[in-house]
Parts: sequence; structure tokens; C-alpha cells
Amino acid sequence: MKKSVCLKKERTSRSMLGSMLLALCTLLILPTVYFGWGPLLTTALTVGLCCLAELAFCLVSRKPVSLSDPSILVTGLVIALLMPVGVPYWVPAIAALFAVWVARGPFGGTGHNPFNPAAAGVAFVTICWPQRVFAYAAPVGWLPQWLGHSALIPASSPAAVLKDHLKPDIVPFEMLWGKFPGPVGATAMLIIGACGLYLILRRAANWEAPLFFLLVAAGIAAAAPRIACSPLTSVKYELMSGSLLFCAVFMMTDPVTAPRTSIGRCLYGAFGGAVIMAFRHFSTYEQGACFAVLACNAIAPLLDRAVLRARAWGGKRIET
Amino acid sequence: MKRKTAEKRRPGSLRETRTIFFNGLFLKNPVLIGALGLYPVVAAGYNLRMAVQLSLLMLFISLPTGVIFCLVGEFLPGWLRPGAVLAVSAACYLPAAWLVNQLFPGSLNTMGIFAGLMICNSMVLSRCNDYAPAHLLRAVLADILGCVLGYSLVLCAVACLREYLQRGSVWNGSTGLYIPADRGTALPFFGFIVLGFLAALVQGINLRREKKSGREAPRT
Amino acid sequence: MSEFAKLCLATLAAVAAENVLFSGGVGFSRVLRAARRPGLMGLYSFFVGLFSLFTLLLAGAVGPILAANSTILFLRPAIYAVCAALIYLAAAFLCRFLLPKLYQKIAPVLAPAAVNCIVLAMPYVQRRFSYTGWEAVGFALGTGIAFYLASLVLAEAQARCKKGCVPRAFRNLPATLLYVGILGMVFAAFTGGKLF
Repeated sequence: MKKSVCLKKERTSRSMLGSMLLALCTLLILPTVYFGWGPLLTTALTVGLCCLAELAFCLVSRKPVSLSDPSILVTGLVIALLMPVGVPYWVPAIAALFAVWVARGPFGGTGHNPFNPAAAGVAFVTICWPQRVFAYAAPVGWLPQWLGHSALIPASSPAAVLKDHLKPDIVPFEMLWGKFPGPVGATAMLIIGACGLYLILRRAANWEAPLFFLLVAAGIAAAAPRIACSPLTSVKYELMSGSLLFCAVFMMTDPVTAPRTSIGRCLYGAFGGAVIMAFRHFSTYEQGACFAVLACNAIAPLLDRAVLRARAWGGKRIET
Repeated sequence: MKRKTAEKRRPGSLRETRTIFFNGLFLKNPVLIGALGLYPVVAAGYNLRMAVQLSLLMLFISLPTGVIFCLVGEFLPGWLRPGAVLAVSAACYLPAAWLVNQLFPGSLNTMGIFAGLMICNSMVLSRCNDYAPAHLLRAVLADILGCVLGYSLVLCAVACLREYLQRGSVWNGSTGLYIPADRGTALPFFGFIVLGFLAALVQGINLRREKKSGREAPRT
Repeated sequence: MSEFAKLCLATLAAVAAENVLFSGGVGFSRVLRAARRPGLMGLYSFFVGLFSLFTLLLAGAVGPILAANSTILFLRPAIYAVCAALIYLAAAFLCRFLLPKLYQKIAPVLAPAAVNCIVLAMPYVQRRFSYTGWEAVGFALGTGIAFYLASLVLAEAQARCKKGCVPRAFRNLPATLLYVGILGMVFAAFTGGKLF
């Protein structure tokens, strides 16, 4: 029987990853405009090293090398986008090696990793070299690098200022355009939001996890603000500072590490939102998004199991 | 009273004793294969000097405890034995700690909690509670010496690597190369990661040996 | 602060910021073994919490007396270990001879839950954080909960690490250790370092 041309094409992992890659590459545009070639070079190095590390691991473990698997490119891009501009190249390099050789390869590679490899790599370099990972620079103006201004001006990110229980200088509305110190790809809130919508509409990402992640984070920000301000202002600052929104869109939606059931994903997102706010309030680092993702990854199988058991107990048909 | 049965009494053999020793040392390494005694390796194994001190402490605790339970363990009921092992281990800790402190003055203070928790190290408890009462003295000595040596090698290797990564030094002496890794490599999580790779190495070697012996068998 | 609030905070601290398992690296041999017995996980965790409570309260009561004398200070770890052994023997004796049916059920987990590094680390926890009364109860309860959660998570991890897709050299224990290491980073970031 001929297939109708009106039917939507089935999702494949390649198409999902392709959409993800496109969205991540979009996030490189503004940092390149603000800071010049630096972010692009870091990204190229990180992605290249991820591929080489994957190749090396496959050769050592005598596994077939799959050249058509773009998931390793996603890992490299995410790591690069979470780094500060001007970071020494060995930091994202070590993050990339850790992501592939510790968090991905030993568990079976694509589709089998229990933890998001990019989150694990960034978490490792954050613990070992926090001064390097949180050394952000302020974008000084449009196209400065192209006009010969090569010096990076160190500046505190809004997340660091909030950690000290102070109000950031920048107003929330201006944070939409990404013109403030922070991770290379995690500051352009408007573009990240647009990427999120694009991925959800393309069905390359689920909507439950990021939605509940943001809702719970916003709820906690409103109920327990870190600075003296209105609940709405606290919500705006918390959602737009650090890499919270980036993680919600690109890491919490990872189909390999997220729960398989819809209710499981809702609970997963809610747990992630609570954990990230707990990190912001109590941990020593100004940002804890990657650590929150790792914590969520650990409980994902438990959530699925609990949901399936509850359904079986409720007498509903188990969804496969 | 329970006595060693004829099945458990094996005819004396140097070869068997050597096998027991090497099983403990490498082939059935208590840390890398048995996942016993992880705490000192992951939490305390970030400094080579401390690793050596802990290894000596473990030897001086486990040897007399193992001998005692080899001689009297089978006479104790099963439910009583774990408590007895812990109490005897605690008693053996005192001269052991004194001895290590004599060899390395001030080491007891440096080791702190790590020294105290050696009393209930799961490797020590496992060998003295499960293995020693049911085996001959020669086998028990070989087992304990092999396990302690195997454990110590792993502990020292992990400590050496972590000390070098953290401070660029080995045995508190600078190597001239410095890769600053803050204190991240001194935290327990890094110990688990290093152990994971070491365990994979040993498992890989064991699998190759099994494959090789499987291939060789049809020829004989 | 009310006693109930202190209990809740201490419980939360034991599960999160002052988790002896992940932040201290203590007791993972037992957690891995508990994870292999899903049916007994709850009982195992209960007894770990219970014996931790006994040791914590004992350390609170006896600690100041021991600290007064420098000679006895040297004997402190051994004294605590002997006390822990006596507590286990008393519990085992009571259960075995007075509650034989219960003992039959709990026998596989009673000794491992009572005689381990987690229980013997409690005096050091007490010395570091000075927990007394309801805080000690909360911390012991939290330790039991943390043990249960860790066993639950590791049970899933071990099932995952046994799969055929995992490279043979990493199958089972090596991959499980890496799993624990990666998860340990979360607690390291939360606490900012080691517990002890």
C-alpha cells in the first residue's frame, strides 16, 4: 500500500540529533559576534577531540566505529557551549576526554550511557578547576574582536552575584540578548528559548522534563528568593542566570538518560528543578546545573519503575 | 563442636598455597574483584605515604586476627563470630597502631579516622570471619598475605596517581612536573573512577587468560 | 528551633550534604552487597540506621569522657569497635533466643548491617558535628535512608552494567565503580569537599 504523502515522517534518532545539532550551532552565532573566533576554535577543538576519543575507545575495545552517529558531536558542542570564553584549551579537552572515556564508552556508547556525558565532563572540570570554569568575560560591545580589541575583561556573572545575595547590575530584560558574562552558549536566553520550541515542535525533545524543571525552579525562586526583590524579579534572575535554561532545553531532554514514561519525565523535570535550586542555595559553586542533571540521570530508571508499578497497581495497561 | 571436615582439610601442597596467595594478590584481588575495603582506597588513597601506613596497619591487624580465628573460629557459633571478629580486630588494632606510629612518628594523628576504620575494614572482616575458620593455617596465612599485598598494591598505586595529579609530588617529594588539579582528585569520587579503570584492567586480563586456557584445553 | 525541626534538618543533612556514603566514601562495599539483594534492602537499611543510632548515642555519651584522658584517646577507636561488637552480640542474642522467627528472617543482614564502616564512622561524625539527642536520631535515620537510596540506585546501576552492550572488561563491577564515581561528583559539588 502506498504511504500517504500527508503523513508526518517518523522520527529517527538521526533526525532528532540533527535538529539538536542545528539548535546548538545556532547558539554559536552571538558569542562569535561578541568575542570573535575564540568560541568557534574552542568548539572545533572540543568536538574534534570527542570524535578522536570515541575513535580511540572503539579501537581499544574492538568495537565497530560508526561514522554516521552524530551523538558525539552533540556532546562536544554542549561541552564547548558551557565553557567560558577565553578558557584554556586543555579544560574543555579534559572535559571531552572524561565525557567519552568515563561517562560514555565504558557503559556501551551511544544509547547506553546512564549519565549525560557532557554533564559529566563539565562537572569533572568544574570540581577540579572551578576558577577556570567560572572565569567569565564581559562582552564589551558589538564586533569588538573583529576591530582589533582582543583583551577579555573579566567580570562576574549574574549567577555569581546572586550567590553573594546581591542584585545583578543587569536588568532581566537585557539578559534576553545574552550580552552579559556567562558560559559561551548559555546566555542568549531568547535564542535558547526559540531552540527549545523548535526542538519540541520537531519532536526532537520532550516537553515534560524542561517544563516541569522550569516550573519547579521558578516556584522555588519565587518562594525563597536569594535577594531582596519581588518574587517575579527573583524568578526572572534565577531562570536567566547561569546555565539553567540551557540545561533545561539541551540536557534534561536527552532521550537516552531521561525516563521513558511521560509521568516519569514530569517527575524527573520537577526533581531537577528542585535539585538545581538546592545547589544554588547551598552548594559552594555559583552554578550547579550539570550536577543537577547527573542527579536526575541517576533516579530516571527508578522513576520509570515507580510509574510502571503504580500503573500496574492501578490496573491500567502498561505502556511499552 | 564443629570441626574442620575432611572435605575442607586439603593435603599439604606448596603449589596450592602459592595459588591461594596469587589469588589474593591479583586474580581475585579483594578490591578490584571482590569490591571489599573500598573506603581506604577511595577516601584515604590520595597520598602515597598514608597509603603505605594504612597498608602496614592492615597487615598488623589482619594477620593476628586471621591466625586467631583460624585456630578458634570453628568453635564459635556463626551468629557470634562477626562480633567476635570485630572485638579481636579492635584488640589487634592497639599494638598495630602503636607499631605503625613507631615506624612513622605522628602517622596516627595524620591518618585520623582512616586508621580507626581499619578495624572494621570489610576485607579484614571477610577473610577472618568467612575464610579463616574453615581453612588450614598455611592457607589462611597465604590468603591474608596475598590479600593484604594485593590490597596494598592497589591502594598505593591509586594514592601515587592521585598525589601526582593533585600536587605533582610522590611521597611528598616534588617530581618537578606539576599538573594542578585542585583538590578534585583527592575526593572519593575520583578514587572510584580510578578503581573502576583498574578493575577493568584486571578483569580484561582475567578474561584473556580464560580465553587462552579455553583455547589451549582442546589441544591436550 | 524545635526538636522536630532539628530532627528533620539532621535527616536531610545525612541524605544530602553530610552523606557519609558519597561524601565520605564510607560503606560502599556494604551498599554494593545490599544492592544485590533487593528483597532485603529495606531491612538492611533499617538495621544500618538502627546500629548507627546506637553508636552515635554511645559516642555522644562516652566521647567527652574519653577525650579527657590522652592515653584513653589512643584507645578510642578500639573502644568504639568493642562497643559496636557488644551491641551487635546483644541484638543477635536477643533476636536469636527470644524472637527466633524474626531472627530467621533478619539473620542474613543483621551482622553486615551492624559490623561495618558506616556504623563505626558515627563516633567521628558525632565529634565533627556534635550531634546530640534528636539531631543524632535524625542523622541516624537519614543515614539509613541514604543507605536505602544508594542501594536502590546501585541496584539499577548493577542491572545496567551487566548488559551485553557494556564492553566485557567493564562489565559488572568496573562499570558500577565508574557509576558511583560519576554520581559521587554530585555530592562532592554539594558539600564542597570531603566529609572527613
